[in-house]
Amino acid sequence: MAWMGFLPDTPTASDPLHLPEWLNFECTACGKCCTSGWTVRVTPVIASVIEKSEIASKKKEKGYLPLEISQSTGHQILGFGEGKKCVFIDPDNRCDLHAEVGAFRKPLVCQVYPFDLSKTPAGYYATASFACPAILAGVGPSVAEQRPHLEMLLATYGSSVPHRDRFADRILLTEGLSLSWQQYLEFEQALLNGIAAERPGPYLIKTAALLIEASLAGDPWNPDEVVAQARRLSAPDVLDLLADLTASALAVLEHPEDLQAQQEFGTRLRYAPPAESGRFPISFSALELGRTFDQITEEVLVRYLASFIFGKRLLRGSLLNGLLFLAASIEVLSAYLAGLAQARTGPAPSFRDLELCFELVETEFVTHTEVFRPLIDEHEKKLRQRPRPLPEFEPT
Amino acid sequence: MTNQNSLPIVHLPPFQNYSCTSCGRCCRQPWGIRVDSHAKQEIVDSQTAKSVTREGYLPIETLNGVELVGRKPDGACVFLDGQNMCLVHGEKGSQSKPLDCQTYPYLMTETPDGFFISVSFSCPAVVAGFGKPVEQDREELERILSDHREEALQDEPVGESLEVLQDMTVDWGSYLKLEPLIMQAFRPDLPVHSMLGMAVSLAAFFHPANPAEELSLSRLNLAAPLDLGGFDLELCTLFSTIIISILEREGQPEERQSFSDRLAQGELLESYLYGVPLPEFAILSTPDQMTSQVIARHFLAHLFGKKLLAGPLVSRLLGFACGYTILLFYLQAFRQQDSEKHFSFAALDRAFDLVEASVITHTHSLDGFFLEFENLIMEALGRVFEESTRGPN
Repeated sequence: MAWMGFLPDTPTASDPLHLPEWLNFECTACGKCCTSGWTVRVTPVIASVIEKSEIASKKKEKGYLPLEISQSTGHQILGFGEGKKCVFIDPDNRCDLHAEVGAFRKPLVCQVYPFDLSKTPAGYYATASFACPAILAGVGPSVAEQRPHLEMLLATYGSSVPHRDRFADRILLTEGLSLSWQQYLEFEQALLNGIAAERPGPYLIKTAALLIEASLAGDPWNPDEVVAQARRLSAPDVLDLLADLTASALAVLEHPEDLQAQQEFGTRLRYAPPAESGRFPISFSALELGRTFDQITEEVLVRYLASFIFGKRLLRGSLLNGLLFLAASIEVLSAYLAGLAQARTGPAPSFRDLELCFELVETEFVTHTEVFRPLIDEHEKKLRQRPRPLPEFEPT
Repeated sequence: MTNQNSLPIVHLPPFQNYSCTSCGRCCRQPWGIRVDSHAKQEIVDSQTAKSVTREGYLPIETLNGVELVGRKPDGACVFLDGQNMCLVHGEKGSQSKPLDCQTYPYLMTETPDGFFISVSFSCPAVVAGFGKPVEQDREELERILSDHREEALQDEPVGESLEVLQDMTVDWGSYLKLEPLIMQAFRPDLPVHSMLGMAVSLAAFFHPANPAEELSLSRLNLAAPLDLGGFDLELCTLFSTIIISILEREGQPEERQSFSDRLAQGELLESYLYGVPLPEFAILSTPDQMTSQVIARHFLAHLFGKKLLAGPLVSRLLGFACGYTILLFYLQAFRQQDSEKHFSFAALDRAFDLVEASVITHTHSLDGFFLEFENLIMEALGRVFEESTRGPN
């Protein structure tokens, strides 16, 4: 890569890259990722490319800052043009920087999007953001065709490519308990096997409850049995916990700044629905966990869940934490979808509605661990402290 | 076909949801809804019929000796009220309606193994897969088929022997072995290409001039189609553009030839039916996974529901190839108009309605084209076989 003028910091070309080949992707130049006001971190190498570029000088002449410093993190980030638009996006949703310096010297965040990489003992696992409408709809060929692009990126920039490190030898199940990487993969496979047939929110939290129960009791490791039991289990206390978590998460999303409004909203939603939304012109009816949708929406949900899990996004904190996050995210998404459904005629959501809901969950919930972690931690603790009840199964 | 309790054996597609949303579309379709003798008695005796008559409409119209439900000038059923509710249903209950109204969107085909049910994708709730699994309607369908078998069936029953080509039959048991092969060869992301591929392979397999010594279904691989050098795609373009010209210029037969020629030559035309610009004609692949999922459900429903047996199997597969060509063409037109780059339920629903109502499911008027398509494929295969037996001289 001599033409780049610098060397990759870690040679990682040999790390295997695992792609969710059941997703399709082709950029439609919709411009959403470049016009939504997202923070794009710029590494020092790319920052110097930008500073030397002609387009950056032109932007400066027009009074825009090509690079800014993030007030929250202190990192160097891309500047903004009009409103929430990236400083470099042109009116046709094309990148001016790309046009001048080429695809491989744009900020790495821009090069990797909509993919999301996790580095693990078995190489990189990719998934993709469902905030991207092309991923959501599944436009274009299989993401298998993105392999050369992503491998080139990793070979060139190594671990500077934005990713999450999952390099630990042990996977934290919850405080004081851990799994080997192999055990985690076995669990993940067992979980994925049931994902299309079950209502995801209840399935995920019941699996989490039984996994922790079995581990605390020192039962022999048998993830298939844990998942099979979760599918049969009726556990009203666990579902209540998910309902509380969902209501609290919705309250924070609806009233991010106002603690009192959060409490009022949460209580109203749980005990005296409907509750009005502050974000959309909709109201939330009583929470109904594991809500079912039309088959078009269901297909998207299954694709989302499978990609989330395959991409190792359950491993952000402890595994239990990840399962709670995903269960709650599906219920939050379902609550918004159901609210929007009341305000429309016709049997399926408009693509716009699906887009809004997935964008909300992807950009304001599952990725906002710092805001929601205390809430998730609190429910993780409750799940751990749950007494192991006598087995109680739904009649078959 | 009945079991010991004399209830008919009914097979419902296990992968489809449906609940009526009272959108009223099926009550406004320009379909002739036959009034069967039971419904006629119920309607004639109803208050609804009297008030419809007082408003100046005919409750029942006679067309070419067939009695049909009356229509208002806008094409809506005379019994449809302002809330998309049926006045006959409201006054006298569901069972007083004509059988077509009671069974829609279900499509029933009688076979030696009982009744197989498909669903019409003219219905938006079916396209979305909205509501409960169709299994919920089993009892209702069993009752209708038990009491009104004759009048409830849209197509001829499938017998022990069925046409795979126009002059080639197979028995029912062999057909059932073909069905999984067809299912495996179908590609919802490439519906037209995969449909043509399996039609050509089947036609070749059953071709009288096929030099293969022994025909064995176990050796038939529909997913690895025989190559006709693009001739099948050319024919698909020809028939699809002719059908589009018939749909677009229904009242102007003299303009059809020029419309289809210009379309096939890649001219950009305007749709008379929908008032939208038509894109350049092409045989397209499915634009996204959400659309693929619906196309997969559509094809599986009709395969499961034995709607591919409403004519010689190969001609029906070719008809479906034209159907998907037209579906994806209009889908592109509607999406361009909505400037939707990703997925549009409204556009997909509209395109399915056109294809189901006017090309493959609710009409037999185009069957002649599909039979001719089959003939041309058979002739082309005949030439291929002749060359291969003559050897490389």
